[in-house]
Amino acid sequence: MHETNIQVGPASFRIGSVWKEVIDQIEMLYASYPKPKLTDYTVTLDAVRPWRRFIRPSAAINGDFMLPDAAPLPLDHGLLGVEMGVNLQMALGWRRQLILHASSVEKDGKSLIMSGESGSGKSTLSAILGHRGWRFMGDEFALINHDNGFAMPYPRMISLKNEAIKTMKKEAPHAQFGPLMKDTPKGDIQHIVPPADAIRKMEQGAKPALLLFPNFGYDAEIREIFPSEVFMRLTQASTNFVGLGETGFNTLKRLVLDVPAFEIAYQNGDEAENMINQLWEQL
Amino acid sequence: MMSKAGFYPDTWLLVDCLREPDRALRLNDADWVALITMARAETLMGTLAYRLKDKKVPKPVEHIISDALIDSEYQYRSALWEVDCARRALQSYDGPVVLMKGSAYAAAGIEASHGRSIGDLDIMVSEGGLKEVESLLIKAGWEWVKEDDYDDAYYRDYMHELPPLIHKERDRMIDVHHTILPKTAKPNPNALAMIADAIPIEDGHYIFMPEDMVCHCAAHLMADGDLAGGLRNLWDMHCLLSDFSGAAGDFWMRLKQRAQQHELWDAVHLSARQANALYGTPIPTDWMQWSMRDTLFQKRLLARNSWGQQRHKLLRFAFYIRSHWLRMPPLMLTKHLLTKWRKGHKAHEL
Amino acid sequence: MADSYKIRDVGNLILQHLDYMSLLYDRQSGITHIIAEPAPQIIEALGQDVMKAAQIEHILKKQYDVQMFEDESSDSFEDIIIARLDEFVDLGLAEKIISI
Repeated sequence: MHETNIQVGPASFRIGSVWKEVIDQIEMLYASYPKPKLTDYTVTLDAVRPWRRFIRPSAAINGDFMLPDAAPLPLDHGLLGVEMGVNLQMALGWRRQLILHASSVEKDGKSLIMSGESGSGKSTLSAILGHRGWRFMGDEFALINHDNGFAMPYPRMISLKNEAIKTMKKEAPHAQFGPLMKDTPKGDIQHIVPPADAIRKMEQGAKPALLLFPNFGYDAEIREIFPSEVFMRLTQASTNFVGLGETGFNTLKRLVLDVPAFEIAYQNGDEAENMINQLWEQL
Repeated sequence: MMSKAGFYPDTWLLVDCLREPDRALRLNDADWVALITMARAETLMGTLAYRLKDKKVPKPVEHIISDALIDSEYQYRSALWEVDCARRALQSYDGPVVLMKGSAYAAAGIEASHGRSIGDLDIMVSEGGLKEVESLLIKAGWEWVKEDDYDDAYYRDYMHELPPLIHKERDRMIDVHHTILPKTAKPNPNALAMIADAIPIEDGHYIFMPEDMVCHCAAHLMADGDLAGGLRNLWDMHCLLSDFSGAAGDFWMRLKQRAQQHELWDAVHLSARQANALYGTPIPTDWMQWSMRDTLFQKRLLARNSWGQQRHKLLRFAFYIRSHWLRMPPLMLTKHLLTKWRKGHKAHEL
Repeated sequence: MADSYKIRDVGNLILQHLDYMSLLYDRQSGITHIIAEPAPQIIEALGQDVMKAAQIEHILKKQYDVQMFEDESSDSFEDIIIARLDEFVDLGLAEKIISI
């Protein structure tokens, strides 16, 4: 088993793989991240059958926390497998903060949290804003502190899908990109290393000031959302709300009561950026 | 005692630290990671966390322990809530409803429940009461898990429980048993006696009396299942035996008699020896007769490596066959494995 | 005789008003309920007491303008209260004490 350790925000992972190339790719992309020795979670990529290590290599994703019947992936998509395994550890194991399936960015010490299904554009928006004067905090999970309600960064490799790949190559031509994985179950996928300040400041949280539910591909519109609807949507977007019991209830309740929330529909990044700036200035 | 030369599987680390938590305090970083990985793979992380919670552990481990305790608390709360929901649903049922396994340990507040992961709610009622219980549960919002016809027929004809029911709003399963082993299994425990001697607890449910609780745990560990997750079940056994044997002097004699009555003496005896060898459970001296078979069982129980993966694939397969053999007569076994195998074949590409 | 109702353990409940909906967290089950008016008001009126729906109706009518509920529905306000109370019983939040 080849292995490497990575630290993303407050969480750390031991990653093992029977194939060295996957570990090499991770070490290259995560070169500037800390490498802790005592990690929170273990994720492994293993051959589905012993011979499948060499013949049409097929990788089974395993970890401390697993879903039954996770489909194996071809080795070429190994990096995606690791990403899915790592996500699952956070989604099922993490209790130190309330997890929201959301991206987040920071400006002037305050954070903007964007929640939505995949395809809503939350990930791409956070990546774009990260190159336009905001600090990128994360494209997948926003971690909300139980004690002070701050959002904590989780700046993993940004996972770009389909058109977002082209968008970001234009937005950040000099950024470091991972290998292009074509025709995965989620479409074409390519990772991009977050801006240096995102990684340098990955222990620095920010008080949430604005909650957005982006909707990519619709005519421009801004709509305010009432707290009860926000609460319902965020319980759906949280992987550990139920498991946290009363603590989770209080953390989410405070977020919903303290932070204004809007749904924005948009056709492209520039349009979204304008709406976000407009809302941000009104705060 | 079992760490013979050249045979020191990684899983011993987990077993040692459960038995003597202070041992963990001398671990290096790599050992901590291995310990935590194996504990999670064996669904013993909550138990380990409970054992380590007031100890001076490295900061990263403190967080991991705290996460595990929060999760145990959630599981404990949800399990007791399911017990409460079943109580309300079955209020009009006259016979005793006996809680089994994790839910029973939690409801009775015994040591084995501390940090234990608790999944489905298992209850036992008399065979004659099955129909009424089934319809009361359905009235209260439980419904059949969508199984295919083969599985349904299999459950009803040969198993010791109704096909699992799941609550449509809370998404939690309940298994209703009328005995502790499948009808086709070789030991034939006396289910009527188990229900007749069950002890009422405050909320209106019942739990098995101590000897029966041990018998059920042993049956579950040895006679039923392929020993997957065996270390967790063996920890239950350790806690039960330690709890009950302290209370009354003649516990061991009564346990042996009761186990013989249920045709489970072999399972109880073997589990007690395994618990003694791995977790240091105090058992009577004349119960300690270690054999080749014990060594094989122990090897199967300790099949995890430091990455949380299962080793000894052939040994595991042998135990899988064995577990089905114990449940079903051979002819039926062939039919069952073939059906399962065909279904598995459709689902996964080889 | 009408049935009486009681919250099983009011100390286990956290009620938080938001807007037209309220949150109700139940410590015993760990379940969060999102409830609409007049459910939160019924819980507050009941408190630790044992009450019949008519008593609850009396309290609520003193505190709130309940006309809108009666306008919106063909049921009487008391029927609306009974329906909510029975839901609480089904959810394991309240108990019904049946009068003979």
